[in-house]
Amino acid sequence: MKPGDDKDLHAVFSRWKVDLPLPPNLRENVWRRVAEVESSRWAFLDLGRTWLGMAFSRRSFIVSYVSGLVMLGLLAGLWHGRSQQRQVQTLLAERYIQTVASHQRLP
Amino acid sequence: MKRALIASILGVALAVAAYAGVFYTTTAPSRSELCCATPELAWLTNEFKLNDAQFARISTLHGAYLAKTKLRCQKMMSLNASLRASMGKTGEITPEIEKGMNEIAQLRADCQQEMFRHFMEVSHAMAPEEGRRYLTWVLGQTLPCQSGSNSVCPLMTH
Repeated sequence: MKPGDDKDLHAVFSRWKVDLPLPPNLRENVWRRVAEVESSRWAFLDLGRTWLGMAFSRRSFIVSYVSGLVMLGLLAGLWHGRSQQRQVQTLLAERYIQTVASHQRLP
Repeated sequence: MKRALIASILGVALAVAAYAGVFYTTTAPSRSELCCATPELAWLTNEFKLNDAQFARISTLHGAYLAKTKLRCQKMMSLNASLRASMGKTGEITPEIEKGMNEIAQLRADCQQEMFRHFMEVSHAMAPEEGRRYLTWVLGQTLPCQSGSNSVCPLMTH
C-alpha cells in the first residue's frame, strides 16, 4: 500500500464517531492524580518521619541507638589516642638519639 | 520525634564522654613522660621496661655522659670557629690549619667512641633481653647501613 492509496481509509475515518461516554468524574480524577504526583515528592520524607517515630517509640531501639553512638565514641577515642601515643613515642625516641649523639649534628 | 531528639542528644553526649575518657587513658603514659624533667629517660624506662635500680643507674650514666659530651662539643665548636677564621685569613691550607683539622677529626672520633661505650654501658645496665634490643635499636639509629636509611645492619641483629 502506497501513501496515495489511502483515500478509502481516509473516508472511513472521517465517518467514524466515538459514541462511548466519558467515565464519570473524569475531571476530578485527573486533578486528584495530579495532586497525588505532586504530594508523592514529600511522601518519602513522611515515610522516614513515620519510621523514626515508630522506631523511637521502642525502648530497645533507643538503647541500641545510644549504645551504637557510645561505641563510635569509644572507637574514635581509642584510634586517636593510639595514634597520638605512637607519635609522642617516636618523638621521644628521636629526642633520645639527638641527646646522646649530639656531636653527630655538629658541622 | 521528641524522643528521637532526646535520644540523639543523650547519645552524642555519652559518645563525646566515651571518646574523651578513652583518649585520656590511652595517652596517659605519654603525658607522664612529657611532664618529667628528662622525657627521653622516661621514654627509655617505658620502652625498655627499666626497674627503679636500672633507671637510677642509667640516669647516672646518662648525666655523666652528657656532661662529657657537652665539653667535647664546646671544644669542637671553638676549634671549628678558629679554623674558619684562620682559613678566611690565609686563604690556603697552612700546617696550622691541617693540625686544627686533625684535632677536630680526632675529637669527633673520640666522641664517637665515647658514645658507643655509653651505649654498651647502658645496655649492660638493662635486663639482658632488653639490653640486646636497646643496642640493636640504638646502633641502627646511629650507624645506619646505607646513607639516609635507618635500617639495622644484619650483623647487629645477631
